[in-house]
Amino acid sequence: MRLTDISFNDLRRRKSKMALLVVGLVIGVSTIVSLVSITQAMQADVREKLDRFGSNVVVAPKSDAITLSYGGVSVASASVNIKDLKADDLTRIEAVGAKYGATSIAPKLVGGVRVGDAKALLVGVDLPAELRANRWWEITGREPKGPGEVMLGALASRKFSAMPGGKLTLSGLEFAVTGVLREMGSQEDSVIFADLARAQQILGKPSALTIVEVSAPSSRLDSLIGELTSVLPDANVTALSSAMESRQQRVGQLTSFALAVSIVVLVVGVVTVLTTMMSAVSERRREIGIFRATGFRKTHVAIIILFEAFVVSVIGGIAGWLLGSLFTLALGARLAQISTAIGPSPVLGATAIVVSVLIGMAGAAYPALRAANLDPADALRFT
Amino acid sequence: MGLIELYDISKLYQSDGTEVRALTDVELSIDEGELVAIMGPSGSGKSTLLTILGAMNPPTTGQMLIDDIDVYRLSVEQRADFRHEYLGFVFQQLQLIPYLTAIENVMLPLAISKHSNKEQQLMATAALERVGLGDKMKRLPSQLSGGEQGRVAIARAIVNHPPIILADEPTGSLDTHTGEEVMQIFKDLNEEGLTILIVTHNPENTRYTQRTINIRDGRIVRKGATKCA
Ligand SMILES: Nc1ncnc2c1ncn2[C@@H]1O[C@H](COP(=O)(O)OP(=O)(O)OP(=O)(O)O)[C@@H](O)[C@H]1O
Ligand SMILES: [Mg+2]
Repeated sequence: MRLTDISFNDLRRRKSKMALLVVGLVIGVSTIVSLVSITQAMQADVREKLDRFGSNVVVAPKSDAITLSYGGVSVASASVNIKDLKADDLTRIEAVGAKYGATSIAPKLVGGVRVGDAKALLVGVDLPAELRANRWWEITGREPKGPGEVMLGALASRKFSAMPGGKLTLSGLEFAVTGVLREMGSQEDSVIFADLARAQQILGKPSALTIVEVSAPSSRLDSLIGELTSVLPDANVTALSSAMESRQQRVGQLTSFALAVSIVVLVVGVVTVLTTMMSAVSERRREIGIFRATGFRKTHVAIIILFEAFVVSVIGGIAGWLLGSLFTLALGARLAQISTAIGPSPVLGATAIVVSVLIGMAGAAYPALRAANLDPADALRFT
Repeated sequence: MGLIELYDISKLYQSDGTEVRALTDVELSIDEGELVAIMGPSGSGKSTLLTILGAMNPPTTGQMLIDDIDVYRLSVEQRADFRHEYLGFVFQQLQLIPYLTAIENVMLPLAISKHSNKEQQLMATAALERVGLGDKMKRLPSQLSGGEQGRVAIARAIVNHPPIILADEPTGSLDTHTGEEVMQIFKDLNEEGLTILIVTHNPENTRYTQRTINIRDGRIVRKGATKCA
């Protein structure tokens, strides 16, 4: 018989209470494991996408009347107030972009066109550059390949009943519709994309540009913006808060929330262990008195109590990790709104067990101390 | 110089603000190999004396030497080690652990020893056989008679071969016959050389002992005056 045998014996005897404690720990640990796995996966997903797509900077002419944001150009004011960018501005942007590792430089001309009786917003783009700048675009059909082809936003496609393979007449000229963008809830949804040179021709502004969008690694964005601003004093240079960045912000908030929940769960876990072990100790006063009388040291008694908490919390940690991992595997991807399933992480498993044991030890420390300090003469007095 | 020497031992308990004087100026010397009965009315301080002898109840004043060790000058943990080495207890109400079998109860004091599991089994078996319970080792206390439980308690006290056994009312809950059986075991153990102190209410038990210490109101009453047939 060893001290640990005494612990196991007691655990067996208190099966139901200890099982309840394990269940409590499993719930706590699996909650934390799920929260951590999901937020970690979301963070990794956002980080990976930000790296892959880079961040975009928009260069647009200064305007007194309206703030220009990409696509937010009303036709009337655009034609009245705005001085367009010129071809040599683009050259300067390209020079600065090259210096900061820009992955794409996408010049655009925006203007109003007539489609039948309706008005539409035409965006002339350098297509390869545009696609590089917007890698998350999902196109039904295919991207336009020549000056005679156009691509529509989802709303525009619906409005003009133009599907891939169809035709569309813009200001009297006929174009082939090759693709439609998936609806993104952004301004791209309602525009028509055409070849830049052809758009300049239709809109009667040869070599004019409304906006230049520059994609660059997120880490170098600030210096890129600084230099562009000094090179182009007449232009507004602003970071485009992409969908990814607002998602990153949301993930950040979610992470703080998850942290707060985890801390609450930890505290509840410690308190649960504390109360359970405390009542076990007071039920065992007499027994502990016998231990002490027959020569067990205080440390021996403390070891018995702490080892019980250790066993319970190791089981709780392993089971909690398994349950949390299963839950995240099953539902995590959907909750995190990411496409790949979130697999179990052994590192997280080890951490979960360590955390669970720390909960157990923190909760059992005081009961163990109380048990160790029981006066044997007192505990054995028959009253 | 006896094996156990008590000098001027007093014990005051504090309970609810009032002081209870449980022992007053106790002087006592017990030689190795003695079998001693401690008698006295309820509340006279017998259990207090036994727990002081048991190295687990520091006296308010006075000194106790066992085997020339000043027990209450040891640290708390050292005193635990001392109990483990020198003392075997048979408690009032026996205090067997209900969910452990007889042999497990007996092995309990060995859980902190260096003996292997195998050795522990052998020692516990020997102790149980010594008290005549070799055939009921796997039983739970609830499956044993009162006398048998008493014998398990004695086996637990002797399993580690301590030189001194302290017993508090070991026959208190037993009928006359089984009480006598238990007393006979103590007598046999004493004949093998153990020093044994037994607290008892029952004057009959003094038939088995060599000396009786009478306590009244926390004081030792000198022999002769109270010695009865
Ligand atoms: N821990 C304690 N706190 C306060 N008073 C105590 C404590 N232990 C014992 N006493 C008091 O000390 C006195 C002696 O008690 P003790 O238990 O030693 O008597 P006893 O002779 O063993 O009695 P009994 O035959 O009933 O077991 C009693 O008045 C008792 O109430
Ligand atoms: Mg008593």
